[in-house]
Amino acid sequence: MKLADIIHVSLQLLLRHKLLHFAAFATAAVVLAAALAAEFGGRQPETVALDVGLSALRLVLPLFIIFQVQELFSREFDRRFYQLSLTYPVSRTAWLLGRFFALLGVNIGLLLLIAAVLALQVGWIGMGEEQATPVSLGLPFWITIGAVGLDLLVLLCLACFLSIIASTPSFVLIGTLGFMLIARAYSAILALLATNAGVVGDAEAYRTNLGLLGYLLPDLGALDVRMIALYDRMAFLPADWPPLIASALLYAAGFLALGLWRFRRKQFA
Amino acid sequence: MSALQFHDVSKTFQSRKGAIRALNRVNLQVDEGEVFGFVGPNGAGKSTTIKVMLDIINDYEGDVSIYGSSSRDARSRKAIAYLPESPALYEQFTPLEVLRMALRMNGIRRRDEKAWCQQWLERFSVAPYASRRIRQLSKGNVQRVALAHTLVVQPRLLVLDEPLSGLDPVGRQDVVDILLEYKHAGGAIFFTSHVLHDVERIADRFGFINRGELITTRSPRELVAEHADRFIVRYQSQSLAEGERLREDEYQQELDQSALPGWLDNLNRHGGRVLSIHPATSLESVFFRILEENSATGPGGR
Repeated sequence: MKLADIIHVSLQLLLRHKLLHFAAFATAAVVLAAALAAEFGGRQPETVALDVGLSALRLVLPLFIIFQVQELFSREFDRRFYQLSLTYPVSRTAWLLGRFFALLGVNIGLLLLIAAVLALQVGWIGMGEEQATPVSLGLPFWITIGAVGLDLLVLLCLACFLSIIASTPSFVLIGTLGFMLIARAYSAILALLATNAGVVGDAEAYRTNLGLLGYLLPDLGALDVRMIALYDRMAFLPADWPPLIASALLYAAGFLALGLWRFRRKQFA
Repeated sequence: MSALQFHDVSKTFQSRKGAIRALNRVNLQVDEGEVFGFVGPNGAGKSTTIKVMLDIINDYEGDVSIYGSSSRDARSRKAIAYLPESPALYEQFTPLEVLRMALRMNGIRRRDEKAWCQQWLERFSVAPYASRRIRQLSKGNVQRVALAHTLVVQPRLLVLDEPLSGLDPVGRQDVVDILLEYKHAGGAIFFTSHVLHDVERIADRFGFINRGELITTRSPRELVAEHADRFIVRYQSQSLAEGERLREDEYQQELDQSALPGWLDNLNRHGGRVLSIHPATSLESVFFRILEENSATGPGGR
């Protein structure tokens, strides 16, 4: 009951902080990127629109998450709103989880909305024209969206954790984006070094160093499974998808647990 | 059962310059229905005391209980409503939404929720702004909304940090009246104030804190009586002209208790006439005296 009340107030805060404007902007950005790509992409417009649309989605939503986390957490600490919100008969655990679930709900909703709009747009682009390799807007597409959702969940949990330990709101932006870039890119760089060792002087040393990141960071790059939707071939799904999902979930839970642990000990002097 | 109890509460802040003892074995008790004023200079530990009470600071030593429950348990705050010195209300909310949020967050469900909140806004003369955003209100009106926000949940213990700051004289009187009404209805109040006149006016007892140590807890009357060793004598005389001249042949002189009999004899010899004698002490003068004594002896000196 109490959690529901905290979620309600959090959603009210997000709505008042131009949530709908942000959502409209994010949807428009994805639709516009996909439309322009289809228009100027030459061959296979459906595939190009879906590819660019998914890339835009993976770029816009993390920014959306960061802004919303800054609103519900960083601003709360920065503007001392906690002087009221933490003095209600609500435990810190419930407070944090309530806000987290509000953000999770909003982001799942927005992801599904943009995905549905993108699917409609790609379907509309492909109307009356058959491609040699058609895209799939069925199960493979929604598996791809599910993987994007998992990637965003990790980023959301990380952003929440960073907002609790950060002394400035910009740290959440820099930390989350920095983490996202590295976690999404390092496995692709490793694969490149494995197949094309000539791109750097000492490829083996690079691989060893980058490989260490695999122990510290989730492989968010591997969660980008768009190939199954772009070419309608489930064979492109990574063979090790169960541990990939488990790893992402574990990292998300770990960041959230760390955030909770830190928040319960946070002193507001 | 006491409304609030501090038992040997200490809090140390770590800083680059070393450890700072913000509270040192503070023991205090506020009874049900009692108004307790908490005074002390800036940095004495007043805000830290409140933050400990509300669990905003939770790494302290000792125990704090609210109506018998440990303050570390969030449910103990069901009995409390808190007004910070500079209330930070969500700027994008309206006063009505702020009050409804308070009810919701305290688990209070009312069928007449809107009317109830509206009634409290009317009590504080901010009903005309019920649908405006907080950021559009003046500082004084934000303070009134914040006060309405604390009272709308009908707490058993009100914790107020400088409740009258930012209000005009009429607003101050209104708020004092509402607080007194709350007190007469049986509510307990713990409040801090720099304006000692407010403490004298509202508080049944007050605590004086300096450098993290609770120096004394008394009623204002008791304390003033204890320190009533200086008097102000108003007198008329044509030949004795000591002290401050008030008008033709009328003067006012402040004297120590020990010097008073001799001085009165002298006045008598000069054919003078006493108009009035009253204690020179007020809570304010006692406040400064205690502060001076405590500074001289250092913490733990009293």
